[in-house]
Amino acid sequence: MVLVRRGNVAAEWRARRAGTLAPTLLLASSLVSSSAEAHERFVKHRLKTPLHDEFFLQGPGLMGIHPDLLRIATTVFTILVALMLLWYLREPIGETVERRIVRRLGGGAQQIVHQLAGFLTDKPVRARWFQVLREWCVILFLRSPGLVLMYSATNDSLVMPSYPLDPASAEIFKFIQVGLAILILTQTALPLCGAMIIGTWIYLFRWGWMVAIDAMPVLTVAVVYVTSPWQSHKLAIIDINEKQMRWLRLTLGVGFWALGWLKLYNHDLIAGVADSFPNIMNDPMVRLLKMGTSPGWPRETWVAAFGLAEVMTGFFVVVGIFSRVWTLIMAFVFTKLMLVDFGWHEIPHIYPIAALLAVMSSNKLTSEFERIERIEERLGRSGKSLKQALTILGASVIVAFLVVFPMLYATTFLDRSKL
Amino acid sequence: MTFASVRQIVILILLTAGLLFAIDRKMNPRPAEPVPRSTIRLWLDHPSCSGCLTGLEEALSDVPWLEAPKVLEKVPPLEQARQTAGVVNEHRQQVVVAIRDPEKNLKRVDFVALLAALHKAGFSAAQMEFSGLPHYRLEAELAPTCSSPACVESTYKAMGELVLATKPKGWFRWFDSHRVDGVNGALVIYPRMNATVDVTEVLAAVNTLGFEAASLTVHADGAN
Repeated sequence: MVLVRRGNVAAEWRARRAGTLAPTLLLASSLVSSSAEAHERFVKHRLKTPLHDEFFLQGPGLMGIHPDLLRIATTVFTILVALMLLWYLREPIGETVERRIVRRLGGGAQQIVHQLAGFLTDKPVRARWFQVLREWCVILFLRSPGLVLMYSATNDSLVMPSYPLDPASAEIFKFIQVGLAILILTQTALPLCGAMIIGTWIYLFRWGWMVAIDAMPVLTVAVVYVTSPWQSHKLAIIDINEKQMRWLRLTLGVGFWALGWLKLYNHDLIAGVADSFPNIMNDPMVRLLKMGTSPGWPRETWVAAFGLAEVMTGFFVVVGIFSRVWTLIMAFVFTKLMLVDFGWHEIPHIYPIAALLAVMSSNKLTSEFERIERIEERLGRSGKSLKQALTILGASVIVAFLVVFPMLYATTFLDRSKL
Repeated sequence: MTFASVRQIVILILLTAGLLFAIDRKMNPRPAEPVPRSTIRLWLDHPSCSGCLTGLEEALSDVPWLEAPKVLEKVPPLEQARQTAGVVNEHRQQVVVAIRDPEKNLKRVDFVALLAALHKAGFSAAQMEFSGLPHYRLEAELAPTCSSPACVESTYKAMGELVLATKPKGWFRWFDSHRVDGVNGALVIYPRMNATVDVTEVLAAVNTLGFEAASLTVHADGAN
């Protein structure tokens, strides 16, 4: 069905986004890459000069990892630990700020700070405007896939413009896509829509595992569809429940996480995008992660920093730590890439933007760290402060280590010769 | 409200995936097989006989960077091709020619020269597909030379519009992007990774833009 041969698609997939913001957002935006996940599919990605493959492979250095790569990984590890510690300490910090500083400012300011603190720490934000925003974001999220499918059908593609259809079968697949888009836009039989999206995603394995991994974000909406009622056409679905939101968050985060590692594995593809759009290399997050690395390897360190930035982002979204902040930053970045950097070809990114906004505006966010938090709170209540501190620190360090280093070490052994 | 059960969802997922695989298998007989290394497939509107093959071999022997041609068998007869939609092209004589020692000779590949050799021997290629390279660009030397900024810009735009206009008709499916090299007076085309390129589409596009291609060469040394 897909015109390009397996190697072609796989190669392409291996071979992919201002104003004044609040200080917190600016800080956070400095912690995320300004490149989005799969934009290399739609935009020019020719590698102008080859990368130094040895940078990503076993060689001299601790555990055979290139010293600059190790340096970037260590920076990511440090940020992971710091933000996890901040997450555990958010309650006492919030209480201190609200009781000792904000109380003096009076009612209005106190309420704003309270809402801002709730927003930043994934607590429910009780404000009318936020509710309206949430409702609108859910509608956009649930219906935008219909627009993307229509766009793909008119561009002779399957799901996304990166999957061109074979002329022999293009028509039938375009009709199937339009049919599915009509169901989605009219919100009819959503469980069927979800099953069809998952089925299509499984079909993508036909064209290689990297293709399917790159398409993982399409599963986020399928998770919500399959858990919606059959009579969905009779309902105005304007909220996503806690269970659905958890699965949405997990799917979205795992997608980012996997794409991050994929960039380290298939480094030429994203380097090719940077060769064609050098401005995307000037990214605050990547600059932060690259700090202290050798200037002699600018493209290699950029690819590594970019990939690990996605791994970090994906991890935070998966575990539900500062989910709103991360998804807001990513939505901002995707929007900028779509409107400013790459233009019309990036229009299908309306869908991931909608998914990110749906998470960002949700009041039903949970964290996978709640069990650890219960343990440390119990220790705190029983007066075992040292044990509490060690639990927090130990958990953060161990988790951060496991997120970064084992996989990084494994990627240095991967054979890229057949890519 | 009725919700879907896990069993229902699993069945629907399997049905969808199965349907897509089935359509794919039925309508796209080409399996996802490895692409041969640097080969040119010629589709000739010409009946098949031993005399023709000898003439073709002689014509292609004048092109030093090509190996001996291989005529593909199992071409459907003309009547069947006429009666069956979609197999008209299949009726054409298909000849596969590999590039001799690609590492050495890739720089010498010139499709215009190859077509000229065919024409000289009385053959005309309806289609000429080039495949087997993962990453390369095609450079069509434009005559008359296009070097002024205005010419470069208008040619670039015209090519973009041409691709957009003809894609829905099945042309340029392999096309990724292009640029006009004003210094060398060339139209540079970047196919998709591992794509099979129909070279005749490129040459027809060059003519449509108002140029003649003095040469059409392959460059695999980096993207730019």
